[in-house]
Amino acid sequence: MNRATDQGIWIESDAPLADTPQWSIPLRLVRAVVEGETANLGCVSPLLASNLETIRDIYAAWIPGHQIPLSFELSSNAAAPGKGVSLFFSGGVDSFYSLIKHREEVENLVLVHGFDVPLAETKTFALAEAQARDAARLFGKRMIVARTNLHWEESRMYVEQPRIPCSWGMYQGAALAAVAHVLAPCHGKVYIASSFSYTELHSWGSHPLLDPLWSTEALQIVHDGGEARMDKLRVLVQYPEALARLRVCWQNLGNYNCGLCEKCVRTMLALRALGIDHCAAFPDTLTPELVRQQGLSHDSAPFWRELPYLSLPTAYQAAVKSAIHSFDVGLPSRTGRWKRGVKRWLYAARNAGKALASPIDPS
Amino acid sequence: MNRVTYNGIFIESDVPLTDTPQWSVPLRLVKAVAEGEAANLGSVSPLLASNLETIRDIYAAWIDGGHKILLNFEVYSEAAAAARGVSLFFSGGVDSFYSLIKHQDEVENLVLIHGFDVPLADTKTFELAETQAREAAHIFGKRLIVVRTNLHWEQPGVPGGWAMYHGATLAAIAHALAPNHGKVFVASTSSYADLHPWGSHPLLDPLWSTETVKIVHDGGETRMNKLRIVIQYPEALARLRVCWENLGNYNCGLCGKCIRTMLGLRALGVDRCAAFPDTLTPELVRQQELLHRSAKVWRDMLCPSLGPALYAAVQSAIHSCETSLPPRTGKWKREIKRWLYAMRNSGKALMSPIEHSGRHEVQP
Repeated sequence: MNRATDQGIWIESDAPLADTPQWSIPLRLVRAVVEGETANLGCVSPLLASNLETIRDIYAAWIPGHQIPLSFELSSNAAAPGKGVSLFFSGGVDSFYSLIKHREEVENLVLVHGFDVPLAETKTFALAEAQARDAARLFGKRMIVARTNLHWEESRMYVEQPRIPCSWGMYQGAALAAVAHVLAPCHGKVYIASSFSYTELHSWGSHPLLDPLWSTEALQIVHDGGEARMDKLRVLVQYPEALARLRVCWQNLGNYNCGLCEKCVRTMLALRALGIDHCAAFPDTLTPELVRQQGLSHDSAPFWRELPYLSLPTAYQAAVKSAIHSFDVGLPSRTGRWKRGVKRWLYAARNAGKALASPIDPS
Repeated sequence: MNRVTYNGIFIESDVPLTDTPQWSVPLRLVKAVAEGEAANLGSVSPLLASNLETIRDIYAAWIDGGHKILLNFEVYSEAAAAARGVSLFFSGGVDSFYSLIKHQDEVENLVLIHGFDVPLADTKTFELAETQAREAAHIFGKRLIVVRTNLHWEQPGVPGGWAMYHGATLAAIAHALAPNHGKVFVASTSSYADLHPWGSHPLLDPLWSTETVKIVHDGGETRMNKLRIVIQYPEALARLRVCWENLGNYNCGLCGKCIRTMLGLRALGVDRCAAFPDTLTPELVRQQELLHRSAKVWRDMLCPSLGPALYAAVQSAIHSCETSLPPRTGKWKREIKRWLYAMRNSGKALMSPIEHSGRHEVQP
C-alpha cells in the first residue's frame, strides 16, 4: 500500500503514487480561499500556474471566499505527459455513462473509499468495490482503489469553524483533482463524469469551467459530458450488466441502494419511464405514495423536471407532478395524512402573509 | 471602408479585414443548431475544430429545441501566423470600462460596434456613443476600431434571441478583424456566482478561439466590484453608457439598467455622475419590476450609503420580485392588486395538480 500525506490528509492506494507534493495544490488553494490567508502552493507547473488566478476567482465567488494572494514558484522541468486514461468511477449513472461513451479510450476505473462511503463503513464499501470490480472486468478495465480521509477531515475542519461555508459539493472538484494528481504515474488523462447538464449548470465544485483548469502538462483533466441525466440513462438501459450494478444511493444503510431516498426514487422512476419495471440494483419499493412524499431541493428538482413522466403509469404521473409542485410553491410535500394537509394550509397562509408584509418601509 | 459578407450579413470597418471565410463559422454553427440541419462549416482551423462538438453540445442544451446536428467541415493544415495586438470589445458600459482599466497595459485596440445595441439607422445615438468612446480611447491611449454590421438585425430565429446569439456574433467579428489582433477580450456580463445560459459565457467564449485569434472571456467579478474600480477613474465614469433605450440622450435614466447603475454609484458614494440625468427617486426604484436573475445584483447594492429612503425602496423592489407580487407604486389600486395576487398565489399552491384518481385522467 502506497501513501501520500499532506497536513494530516492522506491518500493511499495499491497503485504507484506521485512522489512530488504538487498533488495537494488544489486542497491548499481551496483552503486558503476559504480561510482568507495567502496560499503557499510551492512548486507549480506552468500550465496550472497560468490558471490558478481564474480558479481562485471562481472559488472566491462560489464558496464565497476571498481573492487571496497566491504564492508559488514555477517548476522549470516540464514533466512529459503520462500514459494511460482513467475515469473516476462511483458506479452511478454518470460514471457508467462516461465509461460506455469512452470505453475504447479508458483503461483504469478509479474508485475512492472515503468520498461518499465513510472510511469506517467497510461493509458498504466492500459491496461497492465488488460491483465495481465486476463492472471493470466486464468492460475489460483495470480497477484502481484509493482510500482517503479527504472528505471527512475537511468536513471536520469546517465543522469546527462554522463561519466557513464550504460544502462537500463545492469542495469535491478540488478533491478529485488532488486524487487525480496523486495517481499521476497511472495516467496522462482523467475523465470526471459530469454531474449536471449544460442547461443546469450552477456553482458546484465539479464543473466544466473548473475541472479542466486543474490540468498540468503531465495530466489532462477532462470534465466529460453535459448530457441530461435522462439521455445518459437512455444509453445505460442498453447495457443490462451495467444497470444491474448501478449504485446511486448515498445513504450507506448497508444495502446497495436503499430504494427510499430521493436519489433512489428518482432513478427508479426514470428507469420505469424507460420501460424497466424491475432493476436488480434496486429493491422493489417504488409506490406513488413514496414518490409524492419526496422533498426536492434546488439541486435535485432539475432531474425531476426532465423525467418523461408521460411514459409512467397514471398514478405515478400525478405523484411526480405533485412532488414538483410542492417544491415549486414552497410547501411541504403531500403525505396523504390530514396533519400534513393542515401544515400545508398553514404554510400557504404564512407565505401569503410574508409576501404582503413589505420589509421596513419608512415612507 | 473594407467589407466582408456572408449570406446577406455584412461586417465593415476602416481597418483591414480577414480574407478567409472562417469568420462566419460561429454564425453558421448556431443557426444550424437552432434549425436542426447539418452545419456546413467549410475550412476550420485545427484548434477551433477540436472544440466544435463541445460548442454544439452547449448550444444544443441552451437553445430551446436545439439539435445536436451533424458537423461537416475540413480541417485546414497550414496554420497562419497570429497577428500582433490585443483588442477589447468596448460598448462604453461598466463591464467594458472595467476590463479596459484592468488590462490597460495590454489592450491596444477598443472595438466599438454600430448595429448591436444601437440600430444602424440610429446614427444620432451612435455618434454620441462614438464620440465618447473616442475620447475614452484617447484618454487611455488606445486605438478605436469602429465596426458596422447588420448582424443583429439580420439574425436568424434563434430561440433565446440576441441573448443566446450575441456570443457567436462577437466571435465572428473578432475573427473578421483577425489582421488587427492575436487576442481579443470579451468583458464578462455576469459574475462567476451568477452564471446562467447566455451567449457570452466563460465556458463558451474561449472555445471560439483559433490559432490566430485567442478569445478571452474576461473577469467574472460582480458588477459592484467592477463599479468600485471604475469610480476611481472620473474620466471613465463621465463617459459610462449603459442604456439600450436609444432615446437620443446618452443614458435615459429611467430604464432598469440606468436605475441599477445609478443606484450602484450612489451606494458607492457617487451622488452625481455626469453620464446620467438626475432622475433617481425612491418611487422610481420601488416600481422596478426585477427579473429573478437580477435580484442578486440588486442585493449587492444594499448598503447604508444609499440613505434610508432609497435603501427601503431597493428592499421593496427585491421583496416584490422574490414573492412574485407586482411592485409597489404607492397607489391604492396597486395595493389591492398585490392582495389579490397573494391570495391567488396561495390558492394555486394549495391546489395540487391532478391529484384525482386514474379514471378521470385526461392524457395531455
